[in-house]
Amino acid sequence: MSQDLPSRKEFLKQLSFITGTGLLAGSVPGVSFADSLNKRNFSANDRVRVGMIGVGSRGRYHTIVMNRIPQAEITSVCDNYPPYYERAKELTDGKADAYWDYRELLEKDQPDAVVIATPPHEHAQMTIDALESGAHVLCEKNMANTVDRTLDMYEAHKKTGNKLLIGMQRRFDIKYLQALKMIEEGFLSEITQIRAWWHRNGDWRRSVPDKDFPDWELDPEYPSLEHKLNWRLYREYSRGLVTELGTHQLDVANWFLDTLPLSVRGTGSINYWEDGREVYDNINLVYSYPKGVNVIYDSLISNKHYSLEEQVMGPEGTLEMQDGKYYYEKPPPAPGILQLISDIEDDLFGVTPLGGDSWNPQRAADTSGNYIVEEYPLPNRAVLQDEAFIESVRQGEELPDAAENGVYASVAVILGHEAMLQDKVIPWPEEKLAKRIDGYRIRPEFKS
Amino acid sequence: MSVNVFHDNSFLMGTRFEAVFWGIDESFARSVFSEMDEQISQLEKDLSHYDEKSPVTAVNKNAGVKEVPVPQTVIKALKTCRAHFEATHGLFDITMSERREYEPAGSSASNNRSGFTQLEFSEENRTVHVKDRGAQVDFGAIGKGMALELVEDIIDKYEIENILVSFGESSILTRGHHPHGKKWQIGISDIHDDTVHRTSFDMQNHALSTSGHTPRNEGNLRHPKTGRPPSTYQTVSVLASSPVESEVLSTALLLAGQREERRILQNYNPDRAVRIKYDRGGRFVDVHDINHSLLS
Repeated sequence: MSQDLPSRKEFLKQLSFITGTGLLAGSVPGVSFADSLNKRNFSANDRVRVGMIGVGSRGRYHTIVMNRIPQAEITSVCDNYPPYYERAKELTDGKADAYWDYRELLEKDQPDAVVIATPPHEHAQMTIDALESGAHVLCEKNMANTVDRTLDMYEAHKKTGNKLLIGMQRRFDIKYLQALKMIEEGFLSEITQIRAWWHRNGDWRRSVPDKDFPDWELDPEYPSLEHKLNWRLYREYSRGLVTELGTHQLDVANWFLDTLPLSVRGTGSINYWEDGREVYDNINLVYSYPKGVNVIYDSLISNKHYSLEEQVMGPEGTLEMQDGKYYYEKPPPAPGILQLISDIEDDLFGVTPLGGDSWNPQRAADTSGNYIVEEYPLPNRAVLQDEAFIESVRQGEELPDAAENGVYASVAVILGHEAMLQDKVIPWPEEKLAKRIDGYRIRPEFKS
Repeated sequence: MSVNVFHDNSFLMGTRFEAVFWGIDESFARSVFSEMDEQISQLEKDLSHYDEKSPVTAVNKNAGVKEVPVPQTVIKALKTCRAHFEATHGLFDITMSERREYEPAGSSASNNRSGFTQLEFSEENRTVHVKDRGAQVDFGAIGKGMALELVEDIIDKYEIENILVSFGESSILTRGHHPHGKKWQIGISDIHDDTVHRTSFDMQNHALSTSGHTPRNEGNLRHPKTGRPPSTYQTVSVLASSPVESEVLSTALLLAGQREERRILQNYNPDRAVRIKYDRGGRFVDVHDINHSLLS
């Protein structure tokens, strides 16, 4: 566990190293406050009071992480499923007030911040209510299941002035930050394609207990406990693989391309797990971005040989951040060969200084990939994300474009789902976003 | 008058494989290069002892244990190596044993482990067995030459008239000539200064290979019988019509004493072989033509 929860000193040291050139300043969440954090000592009184809303699977992880952040204090927990409710109380040693209803948590505990890790169909209302109660919000992805509800969340954030961070944890991954720096320094020359995938092999189900819980009633929105626990498999609550997994990777595409899709097309089906689920068990999407760049995405849960990756490709090389490696497309030409070509082009003839000891790559890794970051282990990105959220609340600093980035990734995957469902090319809702997001300008591709 | 030049390169056999074509259509040159790349990649898969899945790795892992089935490429390579082992009087040896260097020269242990005495292979069954657990097969000293033989076949197949191919800069193959000269002129660089060449070779339809004992790769090559590296820093470059022969000779002559030099060259007929010597500090001392000095 100690590897999963690295010291913040380690994080700051590495983040400071990576952002040392200032190239990423302003584009990377956490960078601006990371500098000020080095300069300021905090007293114990500065702890952020946090309410945990939804402590099932992901929420349990957030609870454990928050428990270990010295500047955070979990003052309340909430879940409306008995085993999770009891577990949340245990995780906080009974110190946090436990609630069945998040509205009661907001009203009675009045936390500084909340972490929302419930099914996505509940995110919008919970986030809006929390922001309006005065709390800052860290909400798990996907923001919502529709574009309108996603934008409702964003507008509540802008209206209240309270922070909204969506759990796009790759934004806090040292490997991704370093890869972005390499791209800005010209490693790829330019990005010509991104290919991303997330493959698993399993039914993606959670086991449903057959025992009863006395004095407990299932929420009326769920026809059965199966639906409540396996919400990822039903369209009423989730859009499946694309919103649960793809959203992280589409966020990377938006981030690295520094723009947004123009449209998306795709197809999906249930071809293996025919067990009554409603969401696809395999999906294939192509997002068209400006300048003819495509992002090719697929996900399935019947084969895990290739696991997950985001491959960023250009004429000079390839970056694979998940694996933490980069690859040169070609070795550098020998100086003698360069001179020979230059001589031929300049109509010159002479001795080519070429023969000698065999040239060896600087390292054997040059032919089998080089590590993007040499130092391991790296701090866990999910932990860094939660720390960054707490620090932004304490410092009163905005995480740059955090809410907007969440919106864009959320919209991208919602459109992807629509494209598969309707079997149509779905255009990016440029005008709608321009109307509802501060500073959003309609791009030239949409003006005609 | 400008000449159209096409250049491409890739990582192959742990180094840089490059080709410079001139006077032919770029897309055609690209296709030819691609075929070279594919064929060498396949050869590398068969002969590499770094690749965990290669047959040579399997042979080495089973040294002293059992015989291992191998593809025809490996058998063919072993036959070639055995012929050159004999022609170089044991100086070209692909079955180096790390233990040998600790044994006194001429000892029975050393001699028993020498070269192909510990290596059995069957053409009929396509199997290889390294009898000594301490011995290992390593095609590193000849692999690039074999790859350049494949390149020669492709050059002939597509009737490429003018091309220069470089394999890690130490192995060069040419056809035809430089567009502004009647030949290709290749300089052998100083071991410390790439901008200075100590001698140069005129090449047309030739192969040139250079082996070295230098501060950069000290100890890579050892005399199979004494277990010792060459006594001084030096490089040996051999120009021949065959890339395998130039590869074998540059290695063998680097390790050879004067008497061994003479015996080896009775079995070969290189166009030219040059030794460049350096002192203990790596400073250039002299350069001389080996076969010319022998003939004189």
